[in-house]
Amino acid sequence: MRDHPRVSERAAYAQSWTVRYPGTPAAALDSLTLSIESGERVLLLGPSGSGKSTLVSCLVGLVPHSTYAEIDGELTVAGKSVWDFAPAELAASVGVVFQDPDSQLTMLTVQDEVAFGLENIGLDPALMNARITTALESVGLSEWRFERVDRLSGGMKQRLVIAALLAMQPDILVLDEPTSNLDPAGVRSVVELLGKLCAERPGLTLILVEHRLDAVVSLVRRVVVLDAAGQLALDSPPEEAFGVHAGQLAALNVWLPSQAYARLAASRGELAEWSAPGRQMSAFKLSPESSGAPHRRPVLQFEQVSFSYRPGQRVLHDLSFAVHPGEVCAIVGANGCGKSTLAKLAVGLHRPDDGKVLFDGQPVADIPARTVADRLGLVFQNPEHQFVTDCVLDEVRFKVQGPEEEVRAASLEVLRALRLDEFINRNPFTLSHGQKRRLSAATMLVSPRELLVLDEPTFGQDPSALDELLRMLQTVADQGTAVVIITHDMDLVWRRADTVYGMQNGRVLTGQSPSEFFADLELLAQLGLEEPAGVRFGAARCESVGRSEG
Amino acid sequence: MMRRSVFENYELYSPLATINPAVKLICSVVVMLFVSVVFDLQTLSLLTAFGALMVLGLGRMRPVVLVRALLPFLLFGIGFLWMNALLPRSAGTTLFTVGPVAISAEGLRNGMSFFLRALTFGVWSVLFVASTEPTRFVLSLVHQLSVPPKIAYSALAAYRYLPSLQIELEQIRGAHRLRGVGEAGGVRGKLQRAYRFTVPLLAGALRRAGRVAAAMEARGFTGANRTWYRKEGLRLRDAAYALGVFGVTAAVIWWGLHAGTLMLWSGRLWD
Repeated sequence: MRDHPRVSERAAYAQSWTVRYPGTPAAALDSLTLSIESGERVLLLGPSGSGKSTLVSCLVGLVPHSTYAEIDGELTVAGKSVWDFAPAELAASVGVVFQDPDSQLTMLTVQDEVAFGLENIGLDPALMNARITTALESVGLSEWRFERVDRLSGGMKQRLVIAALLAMQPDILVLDEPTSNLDPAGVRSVVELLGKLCAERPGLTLILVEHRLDAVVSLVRRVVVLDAAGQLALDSPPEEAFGVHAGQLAALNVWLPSQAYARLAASRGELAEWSAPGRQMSAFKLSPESSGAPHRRPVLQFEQVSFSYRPGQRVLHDLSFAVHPGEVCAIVGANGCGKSTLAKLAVGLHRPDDGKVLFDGQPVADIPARTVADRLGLVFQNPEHQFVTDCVLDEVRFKVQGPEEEVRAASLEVLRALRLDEFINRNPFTLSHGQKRRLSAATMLVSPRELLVLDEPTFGQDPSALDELLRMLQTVADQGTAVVIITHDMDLVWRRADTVYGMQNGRVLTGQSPSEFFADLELLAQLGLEEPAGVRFGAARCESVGRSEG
Repeated sequence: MMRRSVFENYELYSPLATINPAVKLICSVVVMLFVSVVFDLQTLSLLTAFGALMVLGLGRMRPVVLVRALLPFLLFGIGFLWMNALLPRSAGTTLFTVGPVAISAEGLRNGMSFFLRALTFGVWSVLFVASTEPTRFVLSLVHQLSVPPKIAYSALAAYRYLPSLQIELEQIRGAHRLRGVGEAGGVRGKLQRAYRFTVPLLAGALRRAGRVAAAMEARGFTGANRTWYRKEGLRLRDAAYALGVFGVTAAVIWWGLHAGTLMLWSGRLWD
């Protein structure tokens, strides 16, 4: 029935390919000319907004067929021009994995999910069983064949997406940040799978957009970099891209593998700063007991807290810890260990079953709604969740106490500092994602709070977002705000935390400084965490410090 | 925390679960349609009992779970019973008085009939919902009831999205509370709050819908020219089930007619 795609030497070929979305002055992709041979492994990099995702959409035919855009040029994928073939017709030759596993899964059980794609391309049902078995085997999900999809972890779901594509036997696999919504264990399992695919399927063309470079850089043979204007900035083997061109990539605001970053930092004499733990300059020191001053009283205190959503199913057991003014405290641990529940208890959205959560000495859940916004803040992953007004300026000055003129001036100043001053009359929902995130930070910065809780602040962000966050943390901690960060991002912990609490099965372990915490490799393995890049280059740091002193 | 939806209670291994979902749906709908024009207590209680026996027997549902599932219908029914007992439309025989309120026989009977009708609806809905695997339901919509695959699969995608919608609403509510929203009372305050929740929810849902559609399309889904890994067919047991349900219902009607107890809707809601 269906022609099998002619195996062409070229997996994908773009000539002066330009894409411009309506209502935007700049092109998303600007006269891109690029040829990818069959069986090549290509890493696609670029700052956010550089058109990486647009290119991915083009490669599978969603642009121009499903998303409206002005397009010029030629693009052929697996020998088929995307002008003439709709996504459904390209699906048998090219498969795509997106960021969020949940919105890519259609069916309710694992085997139905794999079958879904096969049904779509009209495969004879008699051949399906064998294809499903093989695909699930190759991603390590055979045992879960009859399991319900919603019972799988994030990493398993993403592997299931890959299995469903492999069953369709595509020539090209495009992966758009496949690990950015996963916890460390999920990232590991997906990266391992990618390595296995590269080794076992030499004919499969792999086009990968990914910022966890340490894990994938050894898999690719070629690095293609787009710049902020959507133009081709660099096309070279990884050794050159992350070697002689590392400075150029850093200037483009593109992630680098930590080894390349360390080399670059060393050449600029910044290695010591980059790989040092914690805030060396901060006034805060661990073991607050040592200073008996009254202002050292904890802002937030958990006293033997236990919590369950349903009777008999305890999520948190007997938690005790305290956070002091100006302290940045990180809570780390595998998914499902109770971190997010802890965050909700910390801001009083839940009440403990046993024990106490004290904020400035009184139960946090008893703080009246009138004053809560002034005293503590929670930054969610999705900045939209906390928008409550229709205009950017109102959003920032919402519920801020003080004379109107002063509040207005302070709000404008914060907006200027975060490069949002030209949008003060816009509706928050019309901003770009990065701008939304900065606005959400602005609402927290405009008046100093006693406590700030951040839930996975670096999830799926680019390097500039991380730098922004680090600057914001610096500011609030200097103002004396106690900060609690719930995170999987070990680099963030290493670079900004004063105290690290590991969490396991609803219990919190003793607080340690980042240097102590990451020195305990056994504990890290037990918690399913990885060493931050800064620690791995600790040796390099000593060397460079030695050099600069000598 | 994930909340469980009704569908998650389905008993996959009961005899009732093996019946073709379209057949089961049609049987339940027919019984409910009939029940909506029946007024006498005897017919209504017999059909409720019949449905309950099917759920407990063929459906292998534990009685506790059935009662829990019926709770909303029970509350609804009790409301009806109470209203009708207190406020009869025509003055009738007074049965007894509670303080200033006279309870009439007619009011009580009308109330009971509404109560039982709510319960019958509940039982026959639970019968379908709790014994049906959603995927098989979608397949059977396509194969037996000729629903276009595009619509059936969209419904499935929407169904998968429901639990995360609930989680998202909770997050928004929490975030807003922490920003100090929520003191404003009254209708105006409530409307404002509803608006504030709706915008982020809608924005999120639309984005997600776009992502889901793109992913389905990229995996070759058009709704046309598909083959089917599992096909929902009609078997002898489906015919037996339909015959059983319609047979018992007919017997109940016949007996009611025969004994002169059957009362059908006569164009008025109250007599």
